[in-house]
Amino acid sequence: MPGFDFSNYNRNAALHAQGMPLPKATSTGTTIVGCIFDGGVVIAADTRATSGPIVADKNCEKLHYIAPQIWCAGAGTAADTEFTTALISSQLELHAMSTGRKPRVVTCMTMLKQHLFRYQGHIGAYLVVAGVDPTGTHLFTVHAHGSTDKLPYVTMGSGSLAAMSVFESKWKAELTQEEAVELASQAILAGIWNDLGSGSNVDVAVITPEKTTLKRNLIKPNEKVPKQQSYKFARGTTAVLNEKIIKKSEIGRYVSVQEVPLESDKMEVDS
Amino acid sequence: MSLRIVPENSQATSFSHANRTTSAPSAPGVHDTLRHGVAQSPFDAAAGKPSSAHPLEARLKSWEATQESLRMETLRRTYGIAEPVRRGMELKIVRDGEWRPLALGGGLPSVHEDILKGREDMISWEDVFTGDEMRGVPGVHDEMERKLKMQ
Amino acid sequence: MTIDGIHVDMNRLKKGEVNLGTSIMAVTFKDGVILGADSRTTTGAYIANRVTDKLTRVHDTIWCCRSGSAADTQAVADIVQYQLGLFSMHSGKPPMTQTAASIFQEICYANKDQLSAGLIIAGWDERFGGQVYQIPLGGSLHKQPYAISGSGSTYIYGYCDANWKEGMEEEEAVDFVKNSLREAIKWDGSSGGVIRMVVLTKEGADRHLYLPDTNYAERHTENVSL
Repeated sequence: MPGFDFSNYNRNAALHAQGMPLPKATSTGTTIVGCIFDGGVVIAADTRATSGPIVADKNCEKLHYIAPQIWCAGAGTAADTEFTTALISSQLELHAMSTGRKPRVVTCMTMLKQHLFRYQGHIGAYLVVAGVDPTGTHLFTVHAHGSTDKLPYVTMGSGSLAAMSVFESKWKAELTQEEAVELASQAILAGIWNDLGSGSNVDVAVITPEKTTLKRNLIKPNEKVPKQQSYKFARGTTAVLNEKIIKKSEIGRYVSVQEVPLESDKMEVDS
Repeated sequence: MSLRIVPENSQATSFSHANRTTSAPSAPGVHDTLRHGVAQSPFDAAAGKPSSAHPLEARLKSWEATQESLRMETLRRTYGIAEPVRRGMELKIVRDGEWRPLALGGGLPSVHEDILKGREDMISWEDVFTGDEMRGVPGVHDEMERKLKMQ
Repeated sequence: MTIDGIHVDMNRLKKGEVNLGTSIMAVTFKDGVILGADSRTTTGAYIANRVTDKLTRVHDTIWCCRSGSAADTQAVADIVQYQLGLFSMHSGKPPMTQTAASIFQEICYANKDQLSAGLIIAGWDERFGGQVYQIPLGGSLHKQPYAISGSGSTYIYGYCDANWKEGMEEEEAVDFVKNSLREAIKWDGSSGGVIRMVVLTKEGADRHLYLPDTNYAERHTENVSL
């Protein structure tokens, strides 16, 4: 079967019915945001990937390349956001070569929504699509089921509530590039500090008609620093009450020892 | 003819792999790889049928056919029945005239077919993960000899 | 499996579709039709978009109000927009509202087991002037002088019935739509945000926007469709 392989589905369902827990997917329990400013658009993301209660990656990349002037921030299932954006990136490149025009953000958004609609939300990709094309600056969100929204500022992922509160209190209609980067970073930081699924550093991408700048780890609020004091116990802190030494030759008294022949390739066969 | 945009819910509510064997299955309802080899190939006649009870599989398997019939229905309404008939005939001619050995991905659509379907500038997971990565493909000579009835 | 924000259940991730728990309506008046909608979209308890545009263009003077699943209704509207574009280019004249409504109905009926889409189609055409059609969940088609739909509509059946008049002037009809939606927003928790309207007449489409900041009293003109 080309494409997705369902051959293990029945086996997994049978195992699950017998009490085997389902495997946990690495999810980017995430904060991602996007914001339009005068002359471009900025998107930002945190860098924590989680797998259940465990931080799977402390510095992962959630800003995905689609085209030189179109970028995506992804939340949801990590593998799904990665593969979906890679696939649409290829699609858009082929489309651009076929039409001989620069790729458009709406084209990217339409491809994503049509692709995701087909999979009924089974592909857990929640995306913020941003870019600049000959028709102007655009910012969209795409949900896993295939619905889209168009807004001047957007947030997604588990930290979207924290990030949205920053936008709702600080956003204004006319922003400079510096203000937009600062606002998006503040929104991500709100997610990093207040959402369990988000953490580590802030990644930012700024897209203008001239160029795209990826500011990887623009803010690193969680740097590991050497401990100020050593908490090691000094040697001899624990008193030795008695000491007993067992030699190798006497070990047979405690456990049964058997020599293993070195020629391991001489395998014994049933006779 | 209807304007179906998504395939209907056609996945089986019960499922069995045990229909191909007379002996007892090692694990009921589960594909027995040791007896029947790795799961079905895209070239099997059974490839059109879902191999699991997953709701998405049935949807994906009939997705392209649903979209194609929607396209043809739209054309029929706009240009008359001649248009979908012509396109169907062209597609058949191209399919019949194309043969590629299995080792080079035979059975997958050719570039001519892709152009007629308007997919020559598209790529999807089905183009990359063809489903036969895990199986041995017969050699070109084997296949040719069988095709020409020498074997 | 527990859901506490950090233990992510694989099955839970797949749910949470974006819903348009909505108040939408469309009315005919003397010169054409007016479509109106609130702007709230929700995923569970969270408002995913507070300024949503639920009024979607499928042709210059044929628009629809969407309720139900956001993904499904957008997919249907996209397909109908394509079909009407093809139809009008081929026939060389704009399509009739009836044509659009019957394409919508065919799609909604043929896919009724897979879609959750409640739609109101309203348009103005040269031959019949303003018309309003409603397509509820099962995929039936109803031509009506005015239509209300969505979760918020249940609160305004009485209001609309008492205040509806045939052949209103534009200003009067705008007020009727606005006041009805204001009541729907007031009583329905799943409806809220701004009130959006589209007035479709011989002149084309005219967009209105009313903000809750002024209790929907003033019409805003900046960034109406964003």
